[in-house]
Amino acid sequence: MIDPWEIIGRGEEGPHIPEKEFDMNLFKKLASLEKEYEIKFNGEPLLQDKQMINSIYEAGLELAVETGFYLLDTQRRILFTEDEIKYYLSKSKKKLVLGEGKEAEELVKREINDKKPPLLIAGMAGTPLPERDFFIKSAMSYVKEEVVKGLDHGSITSVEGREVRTGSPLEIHATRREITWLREALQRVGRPGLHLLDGESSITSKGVLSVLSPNYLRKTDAYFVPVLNEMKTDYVRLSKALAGTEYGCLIASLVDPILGGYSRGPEGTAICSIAELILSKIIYQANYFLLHPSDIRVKSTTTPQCTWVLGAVGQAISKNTDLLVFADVWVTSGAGTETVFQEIVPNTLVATYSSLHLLGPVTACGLLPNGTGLEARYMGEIAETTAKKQLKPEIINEVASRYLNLYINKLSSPDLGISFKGLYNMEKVTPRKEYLNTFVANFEKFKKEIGIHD
Amino acid sequence: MPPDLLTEIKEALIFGKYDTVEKKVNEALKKKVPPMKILNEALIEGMKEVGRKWIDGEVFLADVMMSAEAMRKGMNLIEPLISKPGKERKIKGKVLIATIYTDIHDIGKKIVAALLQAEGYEVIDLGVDVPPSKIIEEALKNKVDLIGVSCLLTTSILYIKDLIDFLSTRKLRNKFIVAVGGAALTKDKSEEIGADLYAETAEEAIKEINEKIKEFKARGKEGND
Repeated sequence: MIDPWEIIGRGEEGPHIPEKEFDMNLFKKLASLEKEYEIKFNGEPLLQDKQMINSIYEAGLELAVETGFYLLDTQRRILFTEDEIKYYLSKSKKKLVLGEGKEAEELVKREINDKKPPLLIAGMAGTPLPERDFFIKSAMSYVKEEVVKGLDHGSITSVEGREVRTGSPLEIHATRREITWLREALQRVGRPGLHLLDGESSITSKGVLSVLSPNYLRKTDAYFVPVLNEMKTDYVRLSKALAGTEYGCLIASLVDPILGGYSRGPEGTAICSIAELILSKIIYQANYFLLHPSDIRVKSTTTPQCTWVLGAVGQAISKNTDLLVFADVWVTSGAGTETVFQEIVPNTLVATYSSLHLLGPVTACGLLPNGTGLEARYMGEIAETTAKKQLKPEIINEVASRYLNLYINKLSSPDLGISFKGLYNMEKVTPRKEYLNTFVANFEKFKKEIGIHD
Repeated sequence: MPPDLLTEIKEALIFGKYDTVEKKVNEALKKKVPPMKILNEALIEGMKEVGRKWIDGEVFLADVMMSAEAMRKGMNLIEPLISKPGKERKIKGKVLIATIYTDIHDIGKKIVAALLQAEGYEVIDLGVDVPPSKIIEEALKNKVDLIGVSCLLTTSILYIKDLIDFLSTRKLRNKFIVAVGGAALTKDKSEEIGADLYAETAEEAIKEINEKIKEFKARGKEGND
């Protein structure tokens, strides 16, 4: 492992370039790499061309070496040689333990079309959530699901009747309160050791640093450090990575290129994802990764192009590295709708085939607290069924395309669904019968789509 | 008048070739093409086409940014020639745009800024993480019609509320239209904090801003609350 001071040093001594120029150079470089490596999205959700899968990796590696990460605070690039990158990648661990006690789960590298099902982390990630009871009960709805092996829930936007503003001391209070409530949710369900993926109630480093204590975030939990769009980082993110590494908890890097933005279309976004995964492994000392290619217009990961990026990057990374990567699935539809169950399928099928683990589904793209554990159960069951059956890529493409056609025209004006409160019995934290029936009907339909007839 | 040269400038702008735009605008000026003609028939028309391509999903954000850069380079050459008294160019309005304090997201704001330019507005982009008092100072200094603020973090919305409160306290509220947008905001939230205008997408923002500025100009700026 590279020492963190070396990274800071490179960020303070690397070549200077104005940010605008960095953005434009990246855009041009991606365009030339797409051409040079002949990378082309052919409209199918799952990439099957083995040569192209390797080319995507090679192009991503070239981008990582040539561009490096841009450190916003110093306006300098953090660069590594190809040999350094390859050396640090060779030190990746194929296996990690998430959580503790009887909830300890091994996160293991998956191969393409692996029979081992993906590990699922779920919750209303990125979603602003209301008061204590709602927060805990909605978290419990995910923890109660057997398929869920880790929790990544939303943020608290007010404490003690006061709204939390970014940078205020209340961020500390909110983040500590959030982790306390998450751990209460774990205990109440009887899974106290379940893995937590960070607290989300603090934007600045104030709140996040305040939970690095066994009373809040344990060493078997993870700290979440995003890459900034595109190929960038800053002192806040580096501080978090440094503090988390020294504390000894896991570091999860979020790689979330915006398709249609500086990373261009699906081809450039796939190349950029590879470079961001590789570099965040080194710069953040990340232990696992969340891959979240989102569409610039609809914000979800469920467009045909974003689905293709998940599959292409998942396969390219699995063939060339030992990085442990989750597909971070965000759907436009909210809980309680028919479309939420349709929208989950293509990402899940493609990601499961392509060696990825799963995080999500985050419903209504995190805009409203319209999510429940039942959508996570659906995603987990689909992933498990897909992995066990080891579906052929042609079948994955056929089924994913059929599902995509059901919702593609609804992505720009999705049905945001119903709040958790309207779908679950709040006392028992169980899904209401009608919603459970919708789940069952949709899961049965999925099984028929892939040729399982009970 | 060489129409081919204007077409070449327009095409170069559409394809984001900012160095070509700079070279061809210089060439056109040397050939005595009126600067207003270059502006209206090549640069603004080119940006309009880029805006249309963006709305139709034919180009990426970086394409729009490169065209905006081409527009800026062309404007740098033309502006001194048309800013003399009596020769000012006609603009639809002046807009100041920023991402609010503590928030560093800038993609949505950049798209709106580029599309506003394409619509014929003068845009002053203050960047990201801009404190409310700085926004007010710059709005006064540049005599803008509209302040557009972007916010992607729920916990940063309170700084937009501060901005609107500060404008009211300083009796400046009616001097500017305050428009807000970004993933953290909704129509209800924007009304709750007292914004004049909210849009969910960049395209919607342009439409709403066009209407609001027209109304605003028709009734004339008011000095006080």
